[in-house]
This record gives sequence, C-alpha cells and structure tokens, in this order.
Amino acid sequence: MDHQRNKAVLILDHSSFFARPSGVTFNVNVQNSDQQQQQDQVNNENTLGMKSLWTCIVECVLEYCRILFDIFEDDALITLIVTGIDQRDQSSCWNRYKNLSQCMDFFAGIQPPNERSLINDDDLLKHSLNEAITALCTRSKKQNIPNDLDYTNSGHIILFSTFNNKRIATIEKDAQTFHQSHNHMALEMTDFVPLTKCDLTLVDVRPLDQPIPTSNPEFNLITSILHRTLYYAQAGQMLFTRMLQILLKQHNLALTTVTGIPMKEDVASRSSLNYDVDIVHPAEVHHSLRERAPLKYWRQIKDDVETIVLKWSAFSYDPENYYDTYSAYRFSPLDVNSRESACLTNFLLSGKCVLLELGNIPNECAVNINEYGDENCFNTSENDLSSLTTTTTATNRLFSHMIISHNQELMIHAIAFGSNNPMSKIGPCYIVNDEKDNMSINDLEELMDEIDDDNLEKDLRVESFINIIRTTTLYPLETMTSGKIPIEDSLRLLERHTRRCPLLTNETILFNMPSPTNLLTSLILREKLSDDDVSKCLIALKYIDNMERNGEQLPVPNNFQYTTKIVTNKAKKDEAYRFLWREIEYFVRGYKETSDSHRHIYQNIVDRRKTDIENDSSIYQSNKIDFIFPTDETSSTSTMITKRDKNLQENNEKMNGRVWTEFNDIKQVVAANSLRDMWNRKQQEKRAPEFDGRAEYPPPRLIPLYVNLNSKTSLTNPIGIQPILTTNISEKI
Amino acid sequence: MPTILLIDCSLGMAERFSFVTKQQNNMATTMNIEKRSLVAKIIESLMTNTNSPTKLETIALVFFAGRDTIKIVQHFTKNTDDIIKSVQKLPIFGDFSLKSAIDFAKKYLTTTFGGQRSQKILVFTDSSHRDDDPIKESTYNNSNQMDIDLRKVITNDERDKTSLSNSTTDISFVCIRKPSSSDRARLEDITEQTQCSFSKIYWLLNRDVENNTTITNEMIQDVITQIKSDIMDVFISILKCGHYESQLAVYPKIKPAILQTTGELLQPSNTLTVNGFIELSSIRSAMATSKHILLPIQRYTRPQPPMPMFATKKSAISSSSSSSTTATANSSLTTQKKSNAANNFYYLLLISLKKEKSAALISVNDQWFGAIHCQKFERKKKSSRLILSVFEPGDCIPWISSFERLGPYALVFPPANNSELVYKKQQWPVKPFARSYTETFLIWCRQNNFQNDINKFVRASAKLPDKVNIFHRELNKICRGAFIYGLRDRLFHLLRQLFQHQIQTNKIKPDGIKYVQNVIMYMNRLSSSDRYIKYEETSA
Repeated sequence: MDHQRNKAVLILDHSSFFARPSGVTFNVNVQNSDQQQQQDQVNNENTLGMKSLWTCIVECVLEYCRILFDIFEDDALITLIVTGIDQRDQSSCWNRYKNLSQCMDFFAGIQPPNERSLINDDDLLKHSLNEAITALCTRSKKQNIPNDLDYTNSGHIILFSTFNNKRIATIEKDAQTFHQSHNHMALEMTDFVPLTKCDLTLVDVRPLDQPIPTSNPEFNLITSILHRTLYYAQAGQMLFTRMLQILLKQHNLALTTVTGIPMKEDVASRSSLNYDVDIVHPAEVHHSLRERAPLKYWRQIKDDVETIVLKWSAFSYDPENYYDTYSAYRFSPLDVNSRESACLTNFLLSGKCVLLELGNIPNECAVNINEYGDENCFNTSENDLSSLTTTTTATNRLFSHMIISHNQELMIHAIAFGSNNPMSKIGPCYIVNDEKDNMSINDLEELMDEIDDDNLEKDLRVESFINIIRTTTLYPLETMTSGKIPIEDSLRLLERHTRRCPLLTNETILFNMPSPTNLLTSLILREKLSDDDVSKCLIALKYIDNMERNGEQLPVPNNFQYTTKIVTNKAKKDEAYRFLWREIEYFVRGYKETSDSHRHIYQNIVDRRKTDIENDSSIYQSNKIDFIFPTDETSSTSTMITKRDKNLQENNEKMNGRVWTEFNDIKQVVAANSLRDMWNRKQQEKRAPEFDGRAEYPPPRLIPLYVNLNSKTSLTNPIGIQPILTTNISEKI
Repeated sequence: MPTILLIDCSLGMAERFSFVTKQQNNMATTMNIEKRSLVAKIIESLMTNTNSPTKLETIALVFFAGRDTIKIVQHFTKNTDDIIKSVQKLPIFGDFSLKSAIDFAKKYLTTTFGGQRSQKILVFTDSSHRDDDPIKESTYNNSNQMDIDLRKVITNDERDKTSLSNSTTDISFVCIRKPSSSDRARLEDITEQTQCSFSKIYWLLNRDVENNTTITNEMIQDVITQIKSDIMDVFISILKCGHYESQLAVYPKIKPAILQTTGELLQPSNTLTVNGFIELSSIRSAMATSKHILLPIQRYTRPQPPMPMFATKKSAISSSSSSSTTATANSSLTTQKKSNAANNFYYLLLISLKKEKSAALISVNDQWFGAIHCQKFERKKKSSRLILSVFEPGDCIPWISSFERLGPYALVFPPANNSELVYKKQQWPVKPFARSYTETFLIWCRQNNFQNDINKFVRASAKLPDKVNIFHRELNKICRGAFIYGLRDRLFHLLRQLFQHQIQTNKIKPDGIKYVQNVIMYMNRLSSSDRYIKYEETSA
C-alpha cells in the first residue's frame, strides 16, 4: 500500500426525483414461524412499507464506504456530496470522514429529498460537480508536501442521479471545463494538485417498475484523462450489484468465497452443515494462485460478480505455527452483518487462524511425473520415497491462503502452498572439513544423526535464557520518551543480561546457588540498586562466607567443567569455593561500572581477598565462539571474517589469562597419565591449598611451571587449533 | 532448495570435442568425446563434493529436446549418486525448444513444491552454434518464431514490474562455448517470456578461440567452482545476542534487498543481531520475502573419535579418552570441544524458542529485520532447526507499525515498586479504528439485514417489561437508522401502527404497555424533528 490510493467522491442527487418510491418494500412485522406468517398475512398491508429511491442509494453508498474503510482504513479517501447541501470547509475534504460512523452521521443530518421539485436542481448538480473536482485536486494527507507523486493524482467521481442524453452531455462538458480550470489553478497554487486521471461514473437509478435499456456499462472518453462510464440500475439488488462492480474495478479489489465453513449449531436442525462467506480484499491476493494456474479454474460468477472459491480447511487453527506467508492484505466480509459472516469473524477475532485450500489443480497445469518420467526416475533411494508419495497425494490438499486477525484486524495472507517442503530432510548441522579427503560414510552418519531436542536441553541453562527472553519480549510502545529508541533499550537489556551469564549448567556454581545467594545474580542486573538491594547482596556474600567457614557442600553440577582430578573431599570443596569466589568476582566486576552501589558491592568482594582479580578473560569457556571456516568455499565474506579471526587469535596469544590456563594444564597432564604426570598430580593436590597465597604474588606474576606449554600446543596443531583461552569477541570489537 | 538440471539433448550435443585428462604421471590422454559426455562430466563433478552430507539441495534431472520431447529422468532427490547415475547415458533427440522446456520445468517445480521461493533451474545447453551449420541455424530460427509471442509485447511494461518482484525461479545457463551476444540476448529473452529471473551464463570455452576445441579437466573445475559459489553456496554468518554468539550457515544466501522508502540497496550483514523476542502468537506468521534455514557449523576432523554432537557427552568422552595417551586424541578433543562450544548458543536459542513458542527478532541490517523461529523437522524424532524469515526492509508489516518502537517487556510493563519481574503475556494494542466487523453498524443494504434489526426490536417489545435496556438499545438503533437512510416517516408510521396493534391484540404484557406507549410518543416527536435525538428513559 505504498503507492498512492485513488480518491473517490460520491455525489448524491437530492432532487425531488429521488423522493419517489423505489418499489423495494420492507416489512416491520416479525417473520419467524410459518404458523405466525399465515396469521400475519392479514396484517401485512399494515406492516409493509416502501423505500424511496433516496433510501436505496444511501444504503449502497454506505456499503461502498464500509468496504473501503475496512480495507484501507485511513487511506480510504472518500468525500460525500449531496446536491444542495452545503459543506463549505473544502480544506479538510479528505479528513472529513475518517470512518464509517462519521459517514452515517452525515446522512443522519440530511432530510430526505422533498417531493416538490426545485427549479435549480440542474444548477445544484453542476455546483456539486465543481465541488467534487475541487476535492479531487485538494491535497490529501499523504500529498501534503509537493513532490513527484503530484503527477499521479487520480480520482473517481460517482454520481447517482437520473440521466438523459442531453443531461449527460452537459455534465460531460461541465466536468471537462471544471477539470481544465482546476488543473490550470493547480499549476499556480501549491494547495492544489493537478488531476491526472479522472473517472466519472454516472449511475442512472430507476424504480423497480422501470426497465433499464442495457445492463452493460457505456463508456466514453471525454478527454485523454477524463473518462465517463454510465451504468443503469434498478433500485435494490441490481443497484447493489452495480455498486459492487464499480467498487471492485475502481479500487482493484476482488472477491473470494470461503466455502464449506462448518457450523456447529446446525447439527440439530439437520440442514446443511456448511456455509459460505464472501470476502472482499485487494486483487493482489489472487496473484499467488496465478503462479499455479489461470484463475479460471476457481472462478465462479455470483450475482454478476466474479469470485474465487476456496475451501475452508480444518487442517490447523493454531496461530502459534509460523506459516510461510509472502503477503498480507486486509479483508472485509461482503455481508458483514449476516450470521455466517459474524460467525467467521468472531472465530478469527478470537485468535484462531484458518488455512484456505485449493480444490484440485487442473491436470493441464501440473506435471504428471508418471507421464513424463519412466521407471528409471523411481530408482530413488529409500529416503526420497516419502517425498515422492507426498507429491502425488499433495495435489489434493493445497493451501493457498490463510485468514487470521492481527490485533483485531482481519487479514488474508498468501502462503507458499505445496506441502512438499524442500527444507525437510536437511541435516542437523553444516559440516566443514579442513582436510581435503572424503569423509567415511560412518562418520557422516554419526555427524548427521538427528539430535534429540531433549538431549540438547539437559546441559543448557534454558530456564535462565527463557527469563532473558521474557524480559526482552517486545511490545509496541504507544508513547515514546524523546530521544530514546525503544528497541535499543531491548538491545541494552540483552547486553546486560548476557554479559556474565554462562550458557552451560556445568560451568557454573554461582548460578546454581540457592536463596539467598541467587538474589545476587538477579539484583546486580538492575540499573539502579536501592539501599535495600545492596544490603541483600551483601547478606548473600556473607552467607557464602559462612558456608565456607562451616564447610558446607556447594551445589557443584554434574560433569563440572573445571574439576581437576583431585581426590580428597576437602581439596575438592576448597577448589569449589575458590571457583565460586572467582565466579562471583568475575560476575560482579562485569557490572561494577553501572552505579556507585554496584561498585560498593564489588569493593566488598575484593576486600574479602578471596581471589585474584587481574584476569580479564571470561571464565565461561563455552560463551566464546571459535570461528570455523569452510576451506572449500571461497566467498569473500568468509575470508573477511577469517582475517578478523586471525587478528583475534594473535591478540589472545598475547593476553592469555592465567588462572584457568592452569586448570587446563592440569587436565592435560592428568590425561597423559605418565609417572611424572601422576607425580605432578599429587604435587598439585598437595599444593592446592597454597593457591590462595599465590594469588597474592606481586606482579609480574611468574608461573615458571608451564611457560612453554602454549607454544607447544600451537606447534603440534598447525592451523585450525585456537588457543585454549580466547577472549569474548564482543568485548574486543 | 529445489533445483532442476535441465539438459539439452538436441542433435547439437553430439558434436565432438577433444578432451584432455592429465594422469598422475603427467601423461596427458586425449579423448574425443561428444558434448553430451562433457555435460555428464560437468554434472558429475558438480554433484560430488557439494554439501551432500547436509542434504541442502534437492535436485531433479530433466532431459529435453523438441517441444514434446521432455523426460524426467530423475525425480527430486537429495541423493547425489542417483543424479550421477542418471546422467551417464544422455540420449540424442532431434529438435530443440528451450522455452517449452523451461515452461515445463517451472510447472514441474510448482507441482512438486508449490509456490515456494528460491527455486532454481540450471540449463545445460550449447546455445552457441557454428555459422556453417545450416541445420542448426534453421532450428534456432524456428524456435525463435515459436517462442516469441507478439501479443505479449504490448504488456511488456506491466509484466516487467511483476516479474521483477514476483518471479520465484532463477535460471542459469551452462554452455560449452561462450554464447555470442545474440545468443545471449535470445536466452535472456526466453527467460523473460517464461517469467523467470535470469541470473548467469557459465561457459567452458571462450568463443574467440575458434580452433582450440580442447577441453581440460581444469576448465571443468573452474566452471564448477563458479557455479558452486553462486548457486550451492551457503552464507556463513554470526548470530549475536548480547554477549552470546554462535556461528551458523544460512541457507540459501540472503539476497540484497531494496528499502522502499529511500530506494537504497541493502546488503545483508554478516552478523544477525537479536534485538528481542516476540511471541509467535503476536508475530502471527508475518510475511517474509525469503525463508532460510540456519544450521550450526560442525567441524569435521580427521582423527575420528566418535563425534559427539554436543557438550553433554564431552565430559564422558574426556574421561574415557584419558586412558588413551596419544597426543592426537588430545588435540582432536580440544577442537571438538571448540566446535561444540561455538554451537552452544544455537542450541540454547533453539530449545528456548521452542519452549517459549517465541520468535527472535533479528536485524539483518539497518532498518532490515527478520525473525528466527524454531521448527520441528522430523516427524518421528524430536529434532528441530532454526528458521529465519527475512522481512522486507523497512516497516512493512501492517500489524507491527514500527520495529524501532517495540520495547522490551521489562520497560513497557515495569514491575511495581521494585519487585521481581513476572512475565505475563499481554495483548498488543488495537489500533483505534471502527471496523464494521468488530462493531455493529447499521448496514441495511440487504433485505435481511434490515429485517434482522427490526425483528430484534419487535421481539424485545414482546418481552417487556423484562430487559428494558435491550429494548431501548434496539430502539435507538432503529431510530438512528431511520434517520440515516431517510426512512423515518414511513418507518415510524408503520411501527406506531404495529405497536398499537400489538397492544390491542394483547401481544404485549400489561406491565410493558407503558414502555411501548412512551416509545410511540417518542416516535411522534422524532418524525417532526430535524435531527435524531437519542431516546432516554427520563425523556419519557
């Protein structure tokens, strides 16, 4: 809807002619059961009334407005003019009727036409025509600034009146003169836009008893930009059909009939269980069908209007599926107040969504595989057989559209139809191999083995991430505080929440701690801390201190990442506490710049002197990402990142951290398991308590033991192996 | 993505070339082979070493020659061996009609996959024809006449517009010789007529080297590399969420897109940044310009201990491998760990999105957004993948008025006085606009609409004095309608008559009569009034 919408001016002739009865009747008596109807037959003469032509026209005009407002909302540019009724404020032509109820108010304020004719009816019509063209040349909201779009200003004038040849000629002449003079004016005045295309639609309305000369419209080109079309219509149903035809043509709309909608309440009455609802929407909705086959296969003519028939499908009503949709347009039911439409709209407004199904695809528009192929093409491996069978059966079930409500707006989506999804059966990961040789099939199968989601879930800190998701679930903001972009708040929140948060459960003790320690991890994330919060945090710290003194067990996760092969319980516990303090320090340090209170808490931790504070690298190894690059692919993008990656590696080499390298070293040594290693391990066990003290070494902190180990690892593993500790990339960029 | 290999089997494909293969001992063997064998060789080497283990591509093989000589040799498959097998014996038929073949291929794609985006057709043909070959010349002329439909020229403008925005099928051509400019124009023309988008022509031999008809393995390899990088390539990208990162393969590549408001061409950035999350029931299948599968990257290393997919097994393995003392085991262990570590965030996001039934809103570039959601992949096993839907750049989703004006839950609904944040799904604000299907409007366009409204009103009168409110509500509706539609004289007159008749025939309960009489008086007043006045009980 980015292109400009056509403007529409509707002129209603208010002359005495329209006070005449139309022949369309209405009945005020209740008509329900047959029995009563017979009884009431006698009284019918007292309850039957006849509508005037005026009433019939107003009914149609309001329906026209209703559909436009439903589909285009603020973009429905409508101006209503009744001859002889002065409206004056031309400046706000296109803002005057913002919705249907304002249009209704307009008509409610107008007296029905007088039965006595006035002399100057023709002059009044001429005046209204002038008014209409003025309105079309007036800027709409979207045109408020003069630009190139000024030259695509087009509009429609629909005139409901009664015509004869002479009258048509005068109207055409008048329209032409007004149009030309206005376009001249538009060249000089910025308030005006030249009218570059104008359709003048005349509707000759007659009572039911007067026959119409032709049911086809008559066209006439007055000038290259001014076209005239004349419709004849009898009041009532025919007028309504004409109006619908005009509406669809002028605004490029189309009809779809949703067929076979099941209705529960009819079960008892044994009548038809399914019903149809016609909906109006922009014609673009049907484009997706054209890709498949010409529209004629689904087309039906209903009351002189074309409609595309699509079947309601009970396939899925779940709006929590994400369907492949490529476009969405508003729609409105054609007969909005009917029971069937109300039933459908209520169903959709309650949040459900419905897929619409195509009937059979005509044979000439599909490829019959059996016809074009031969036995040969079925020598497919077992894998593909399933997809083959779906192809043959899928022809019976093709979903082409989806109807759904978005925040109480009804929308129709075109979906990528065809149930055979090419995305299915794709392996669970993308494999990169450094070596040029082929992989063995066994390995491949192992790699490509589907991973069970439940298996994945075990070690991930899903619960905590779900909390982050909830905190940053996005909702539209009505009011904006100046200078702040709401989505950036979300980015900031995400940054803060993920700054010092481990991905795996087996990497952390801190995040497994029970109350009151868990307060620490949630409170620190806040931007502002009250005094109460600060004291809560300090209590949490004190609590851990007490635990350590009492020698309580810590909730060390299974498969804890950093456990060394220390056997004795005490050493294990000590190690766990060391890790915990290290973790706390690392965690709080990440937030110490947030406020003074944060800094205060951090200082408290430092003062406890439980840990070495100089290390800047992340202690959660799996939070870091090692970039892997396909060597067989030579796209520019990947080489670019590789370069960046190399820089990073170099950086990391220089600033390799100390504490956790040590742990890793130990692990490697343990793994080697030689006599010396075993001795080392024992030494380590013995030495474990003195770890605290070592932390207080004055800089430069010398660790003479494993100086060469880094260079050794890089020697044995030529290219692909990254250093054991890499720094969080985001911190470096 | 579905790809059709469309292979030319016309007479011209029997033309012979000398093909030189270099043996390992540097001995060159020259073979005299036909073009069709060359095509077979190209396809064979194209099919080997594509990302076959991941099974990204699904490929079908179609032979074509004349207008009706079209044959599906291999139905869509992910098994590259089948393709290679089928391509070994290429037949030769007489005629050549490219357009009908492409039309067929398009139809074949839609039959199998429906209106999916990013479908590809790869045509293997030798469009170049030697000037001294009169037979071929005439065939081309014929096909030209056949192909160009003069009626279509008129609608060219209109179609261009639609074909640019809506065409879902890319066509590339693989030729033995570089096509001359007229040949090229013809290929482009056919592409346009079949409403596909023309992407590229690849060739083995340059045209200007007339005499040199020798083709080497290297030439084939060159072409293959080109085709692979254009068509079969994945897009390696980084998914970022705050400090969490994961590297992934995006397939198919995200194509550059145009920002409608400024006309600026936007390139997808290498980093997909998570901006926040939207519940699936709120994003409601927002329309996307393209869909992409996101796969974690797994490094394959040569020394093969059983490769665990995920860190869970890591510690188990590290303990088991601690007994093996080889250095290689150690090093592969670390690599393994690393490649897994890089995927941890991917899996965390996958599981969390699945559990929360939520989608991650990501930015592809400035003002260009997309959504990642989790989709179940296998029916039997519980296995899922992340799917990226790329939206049109700018704010193009009607029910999300502006991406930038979306705020995080914690700030939009801040918890009261410093308490913990408790998430509760909130309704999205409804745009204040009176829609005819959400509010009741008096539409009397159809006979039964009016009848229903009147029936409700008259029935309500029979229930008086119960449900007076409903009666008055209906009364006000009818009276307003009478004013809007210019019906009041007749309608009020009839209604008055009706009610008087109802009272006389005792259809209205005695207690209700006074209400009805009040209403009759009110209608009397209204019919002489200029404007509609709402009925209120006190006014009686």
